Amino acid sequence: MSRMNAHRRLILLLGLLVASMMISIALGDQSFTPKRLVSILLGGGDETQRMILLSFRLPRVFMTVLVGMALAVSGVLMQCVLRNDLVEPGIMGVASGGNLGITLAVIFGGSQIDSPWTMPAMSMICAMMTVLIVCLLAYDGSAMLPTRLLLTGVAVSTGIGAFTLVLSLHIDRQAYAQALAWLAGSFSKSDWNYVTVLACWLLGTIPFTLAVHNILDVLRLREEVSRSLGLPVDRWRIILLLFGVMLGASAMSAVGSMAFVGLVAPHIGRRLVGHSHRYLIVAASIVGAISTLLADTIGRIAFLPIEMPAGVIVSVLGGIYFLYLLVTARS
Amino acid sequence: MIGADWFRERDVSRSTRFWSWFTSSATLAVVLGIGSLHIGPTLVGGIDYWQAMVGYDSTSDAQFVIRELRLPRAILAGLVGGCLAASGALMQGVTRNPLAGPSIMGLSSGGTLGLLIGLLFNPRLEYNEAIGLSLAGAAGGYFTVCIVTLLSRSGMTPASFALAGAVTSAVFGAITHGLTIYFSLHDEMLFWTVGGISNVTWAQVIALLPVCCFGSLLALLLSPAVTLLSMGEEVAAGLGQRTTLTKTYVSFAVLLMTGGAIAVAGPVGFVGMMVPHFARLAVGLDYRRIVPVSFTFGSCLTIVADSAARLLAGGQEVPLGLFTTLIGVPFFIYLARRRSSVRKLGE
Amino acid sequence: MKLSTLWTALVGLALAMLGAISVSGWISSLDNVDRDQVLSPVVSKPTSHGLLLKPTSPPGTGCTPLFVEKHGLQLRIIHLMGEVRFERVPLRICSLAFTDELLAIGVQPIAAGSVNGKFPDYLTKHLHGVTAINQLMGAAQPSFEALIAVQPDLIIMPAGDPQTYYQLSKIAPVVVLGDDGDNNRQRVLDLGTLLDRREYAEQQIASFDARIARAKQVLQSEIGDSKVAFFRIFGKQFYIHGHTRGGLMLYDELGLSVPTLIADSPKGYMLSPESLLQLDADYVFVAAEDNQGAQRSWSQLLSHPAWQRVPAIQAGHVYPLVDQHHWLRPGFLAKLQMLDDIVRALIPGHEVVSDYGQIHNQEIDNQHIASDAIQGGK
Repeated sequence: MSRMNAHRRLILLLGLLVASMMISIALGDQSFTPKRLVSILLGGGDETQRMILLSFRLPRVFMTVLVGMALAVSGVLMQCVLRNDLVEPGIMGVASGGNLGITLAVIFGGSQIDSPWTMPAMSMICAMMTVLIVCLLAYDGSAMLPTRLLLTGVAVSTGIGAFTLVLSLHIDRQAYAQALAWLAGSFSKSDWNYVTVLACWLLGTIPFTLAVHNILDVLRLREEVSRSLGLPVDRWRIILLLFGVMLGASAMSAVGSMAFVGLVAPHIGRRLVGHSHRYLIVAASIVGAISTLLADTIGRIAFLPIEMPAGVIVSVLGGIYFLYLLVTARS
Repeated sequence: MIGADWFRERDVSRSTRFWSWFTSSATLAVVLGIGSLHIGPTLVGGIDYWQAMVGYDSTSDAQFVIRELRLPRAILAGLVGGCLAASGALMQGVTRNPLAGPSIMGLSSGGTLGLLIGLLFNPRLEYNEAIGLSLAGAAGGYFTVCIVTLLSRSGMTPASFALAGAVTSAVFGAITHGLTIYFSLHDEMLFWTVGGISNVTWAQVIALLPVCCFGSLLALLLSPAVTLLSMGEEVAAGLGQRTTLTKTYVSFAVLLMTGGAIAVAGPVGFVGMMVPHFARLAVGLDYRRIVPVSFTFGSCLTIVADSAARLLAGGQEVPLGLFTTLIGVPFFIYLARRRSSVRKLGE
Repeated sequence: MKLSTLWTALVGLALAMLGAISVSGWISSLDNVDRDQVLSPVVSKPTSHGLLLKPTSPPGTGCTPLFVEKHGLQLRIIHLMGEVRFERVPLRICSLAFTDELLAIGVQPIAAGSVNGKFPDYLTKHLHGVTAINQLMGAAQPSFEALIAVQPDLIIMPAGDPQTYYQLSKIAPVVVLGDDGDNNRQRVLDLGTLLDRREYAEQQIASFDARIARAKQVLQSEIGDSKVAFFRIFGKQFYIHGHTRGGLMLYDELGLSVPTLIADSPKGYMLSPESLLQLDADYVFVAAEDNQGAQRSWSQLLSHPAWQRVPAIQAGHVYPLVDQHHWLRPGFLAKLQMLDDIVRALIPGHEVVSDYGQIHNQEIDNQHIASDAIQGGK
């Protein structure tokens, strides 16, 4: 893929992202025409409209974009490190660990929870603990084989999922519904506070991953090759894997489980701009953002007055796309 | 492997080994089943067993719990475990994937989805209709997985099977989740999706029994063909087998057994994946022997799991499916740590 | 590669993450005046100014009362999550919780929390024309845009969801009321004080107490020490309630005898069919969710042979609750309606002396309270 072509496609993608952001902002319980939208953004409109737009829809759309980006970059990193295009953040136990964290928070905190950071922090801590367990179990004293890591991740996820279910059988239904609502992957809890934190975190990590795109390219090669190039492969692998996991965990800690974005976005990205990580990271993150935006917008609009959490829609659409990929892809 | 080596050294003929394993595990299943009749909050004495069978006195609580509650439950646990394990063995043989099992092949999530859709459209479902719906849903899930792998250009490799299964399960699970949210059944659904056999009566046993018998008979008849298939598709075809036909029959048998088990007990995780490995260790690679031994081993496992779930929780209920999952996960991790299976999936 | 490398890397990254969270949390706390004000409140749990009923009061007073300070028409309120002020008594109220108690003091909200557009069944008749605000899964975030559209000037929400609290605070002043434990009497008083209907609220509680006392006496003489159980059906399972939900009414308010099964786990638990044989209840109330799955399992479960051995069933003393939301959310009105159910079921032929009817018949509207407020202003 020529560099010019990749650049052009990236710009197109960016345009698409901005357009879908505008569409997502415009649609909702009350929909606005583009003209009205612009006038409200520039300070016009009545108070209600301004409040809907500035205090609720804007943070929500930004949150959606950030989460999509985080998941997609996390997917790229993990696919690269584990040298397997079928990996996504959830597979290392991030999602099930996060769920466990939220369930524990609800059981022990209940109505005593008085900080908006309790749930994300619990989710984050438990997700990281789960990943640690997966790594330790997959480590046999000499190496951490990617395939083994995957299988262990699947098993530990399932086990933790079952454990979470056992726990949730014993909590009050109302509290359980609250935990479930948090886990379902809805963006309705997005506010500027979450957006700020996530944005800061992404501002730190995405430039870093872009800076090491050469290393990512090398790691993607066969192990012998990357070793022969004199790269401390194992160290980089661990660092990048942890980065990937933490990106995924931070995204999911803020919104709940969000499957398939980290899997599908890098795939589409690869089809668009090729395998060079320099472009792939950017392309995948934009695709990820667009896909979460799409899911959230559908979830808000299509089932009115009920809101369908974006996580559910992403799973259905992403899963179907993935099955399609399985059918058409050449091995 | 130790057990297998030990037997090889002793040079016991394969057939004898099979019969000894089969009869001993079948006996064990029966003994465990009888033992499980003893577990529960109501105290029963030795004489009650006898009277419950012969001179049933419906006013005695002890005889009532044995005859009407614990016996059907034990039989059902045995049937469910046996069906799941035998169909797991068939699946592993056909797909040559050591990690194949009902929950991985889209059967469980399909069954749950089928049941939910049925309940939404017709709340006054009879028990047998519900079983039928679960079966249909499981069939839907299973065929989706099969079609995707059949159509995929990379062919029916173990890896593509596993993937298609995982993704299909995820999609079906998400649809189920979406429906429960839309109809606000979310907290209710929890108790439908986790496997449980606490409320079974003879009606469920009678409903499952014919399905199970027919399915296992079919599995036994198919097992020679599966043995050939497990050596590789080319081998089987070279020996004159019509592989597609065999696969279709196997699919049917798997559906009957797993679908039936899931319909009465909900998803019971990991039994179908785990047990055939033990069976293989015990009797070698011939599916004519693996299938029956898997059945009896599976029965033992679920009966033990059910008894343990009852013992641990007292008067409360821990769903069977969650219990087997918690047992199965360490085994799965152990499998993943063995290099051979890792290499096989990594290809 | 060594394990220690892994550990070091993990710990390092975790620290980095925590750092990022705290720094940006600090940044985000700077940019928003509202939040700043809320994050550093003087939430001294008021006790002396408290509006507690009595020091040793019975059920229904479980929680710390709401602190309300009045200067003329102005109100200063310290609730669980912070402090809000009102220039005058709020009129356009949105209740994401405690709709029941709000109606009990004769105030109809303009919008109320709902599950997929449905209010709790026993409140539906009082909520004509009230906007239904959907809550995600009936418990979490309400649909904010619908809420903004009704322009409330007070939002009442339950504790335990701080993020939603901050989001709602952007729309209107929010009062967070704890709903842990059995506290509906206290909540009625709180809302009465808040909405300038304190006297009416006290009257309601007094008549409630009187009714409970009467019913208690009658039940005592009619059924004595007979044991009463309350079941719910989830999917394929039975759940027996102890001192929770409907059990609060049965055991704590009315002082009826508790089945022996509950002794081990006073909150209640999931019951296996075999445990039914240990159930020594003489009267059984069964609630099956008003959805299809539960209705189906309800008929299927009752045909289970173990049920036939429960003394209450043999005697025909089993009472299915079709409208059952009031048994599941024991609010103030809900308890009154439960009382009717219980008396009607346990003492057939006994005339239900329903003060509850008075609440029904009374005009519940905002005009009433509005005129009150204006008069108070004069």
